[in-house]
Amino acid sequence: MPEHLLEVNNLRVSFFTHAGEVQAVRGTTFAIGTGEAVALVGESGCGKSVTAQTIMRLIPDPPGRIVGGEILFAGQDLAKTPETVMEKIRGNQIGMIFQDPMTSLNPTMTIGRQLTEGIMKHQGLPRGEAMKRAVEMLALVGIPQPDRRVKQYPHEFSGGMRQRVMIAIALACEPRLLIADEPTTALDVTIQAQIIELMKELKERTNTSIILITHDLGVVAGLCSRVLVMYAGQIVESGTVEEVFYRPKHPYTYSLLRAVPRLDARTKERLVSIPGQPPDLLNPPKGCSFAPRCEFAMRICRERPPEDRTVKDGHLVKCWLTEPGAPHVSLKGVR
Amino acid sequence: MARFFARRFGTMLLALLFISTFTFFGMKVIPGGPFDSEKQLPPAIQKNIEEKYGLNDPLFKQYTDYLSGVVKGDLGPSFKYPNRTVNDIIKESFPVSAALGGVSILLAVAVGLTLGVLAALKQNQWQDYLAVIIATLGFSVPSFVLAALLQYVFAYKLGWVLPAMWGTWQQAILPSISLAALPTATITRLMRSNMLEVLQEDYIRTARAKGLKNRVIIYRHAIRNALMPVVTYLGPMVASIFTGSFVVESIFAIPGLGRYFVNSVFNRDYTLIMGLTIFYSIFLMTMNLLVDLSYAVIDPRVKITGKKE
Repeated sequence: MPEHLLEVNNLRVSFFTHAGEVQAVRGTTFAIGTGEAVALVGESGCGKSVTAQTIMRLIPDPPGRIVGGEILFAGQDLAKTPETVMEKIRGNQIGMIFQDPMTSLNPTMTIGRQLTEGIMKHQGLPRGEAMKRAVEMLALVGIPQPDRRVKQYPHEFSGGMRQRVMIAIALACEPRLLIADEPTTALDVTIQAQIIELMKELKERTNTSIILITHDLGVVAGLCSRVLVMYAGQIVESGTVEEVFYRPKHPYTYSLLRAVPRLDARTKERLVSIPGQPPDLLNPPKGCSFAPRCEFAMRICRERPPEDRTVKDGHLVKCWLTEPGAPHVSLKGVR
Repeated sequence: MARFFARRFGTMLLALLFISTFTFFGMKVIPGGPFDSEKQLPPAIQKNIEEKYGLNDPLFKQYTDYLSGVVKGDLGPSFKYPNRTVNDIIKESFPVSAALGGVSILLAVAVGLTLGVLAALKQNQWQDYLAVIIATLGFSVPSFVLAALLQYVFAYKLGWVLPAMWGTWQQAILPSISLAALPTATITRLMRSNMLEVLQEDYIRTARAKGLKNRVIIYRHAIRNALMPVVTYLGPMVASIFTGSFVVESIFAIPGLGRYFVNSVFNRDYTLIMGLTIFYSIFLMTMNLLVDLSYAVIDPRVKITGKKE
């Protein structure tokens, strides 16, 4: 594995609300190498976005707070970095793209201005130079007539074009890490494919590491080499795309994959779903967080949380079923 | 653009015609007339005066006579202030009210925007509570109470300024504070709630993700987007404050336009009522037009066209 650009160790993030402490991220650990693209998948509310925004330190405090763990980015612990230093890292060393391109751009400011303000801040370029760079960036992300488009406002762009602008903003200062928080969720399918293709192309050209957050397993394979499956604030399974998708070891991953609608399914076949609800993170369960919904749950699953266990080189699973001597269950029939 | 203005002026003229018609016949319905007084004039004299001002003509003729004067820019003679025309009265008193109103609006905008932004940034901290208290006081304390209180403290007790009269800039301080209280309160509240809303927007998060300083995010990204409702409110507020306040002008003995609005009705000074109504209407509609034009400046999504929605 290449040298790690980002290492998240036992990260814990909680939101302190009137009802109590909501433990959104409960001991997440993962690492990303330089030039590597990793997908973070899981259903809504599992803590994907909170993890990503915590790396950028964008979680509003109050109510959110890092209660434990470290975020090592190029050797520096971002969890303890003061705000003034974070400002030099955000947009410069780490770029971020958000879910909804329709609302993520300031409606009263030209695209050029929104692109140049980061460039001017981080690279210290004068306005004219920054504007030249902005036009270059727009061209790079595939926006036609970039020198005309920089003078326009966000409402003059379509959804897909706006997401391209967001990518241009995120990559303008050539960051070492790009965090894409559901970049394709708000776009229609053909545009989704274009955006993923664009990110892949840019990754290859610039050797930027990528964290792709998504709940669409289809877009993962196109861009990423590794997958992190998140459930109730923890990474329950991680490994290469091939390992996790074809040989899932965690019943949650298995259920998640089974829930993907298949193109060759018979028309009468019903969509598969995972019964039950994710646990209440105000009072997380004592044992494995997936146990209440797991069809293979044993007594120990409800009593003690499982530890990470390596089932194959680089394939980690948090499940009691992987323990030697556990009953053998067959998770088959996926793809 | 040209079509936009053509449409707007057309609508304004129509509205003006409606307002003046309604006011004209409305005021004639109110019992009494400009020359009724407790001391009964001899009937012959009364009749002569009424004849001179055309008050014995059929109502509709009075109306058309008046309108033809208005079209020529002549608002007629005042019934109650002999030898002065309505045009004279407006020309003399409006600048006084407008000067006082201008100072008040500037004060209200400066203080209101500052307090509103500060309150939003320090939500649920003491700065926020202070701003909310000031806003609530501004809303709930009537201007005559505030004016009297200011006079008592700063003119009578401390003796810093004269309690009333008009002429030097020091004399504008107390009345402009009294006038500014309500708009300050409104702007503070509007700005606070809009800022809180805008700060939740996705593009603010984008701006933070670029690594911009908090101060830059507030000034460059948040305030402009939060300003819209304040501008909307400012149009009618400027019209109302520039044309003077009966209460404040009476308390501070300021020779402004405000008192004529009330006095003219008591006096049944028909031409003055009409003149002030028309003047105020034009002023208000112009302010609203300016508000609409400034939308296009603030928000690029707003386009000035002559087309209907």
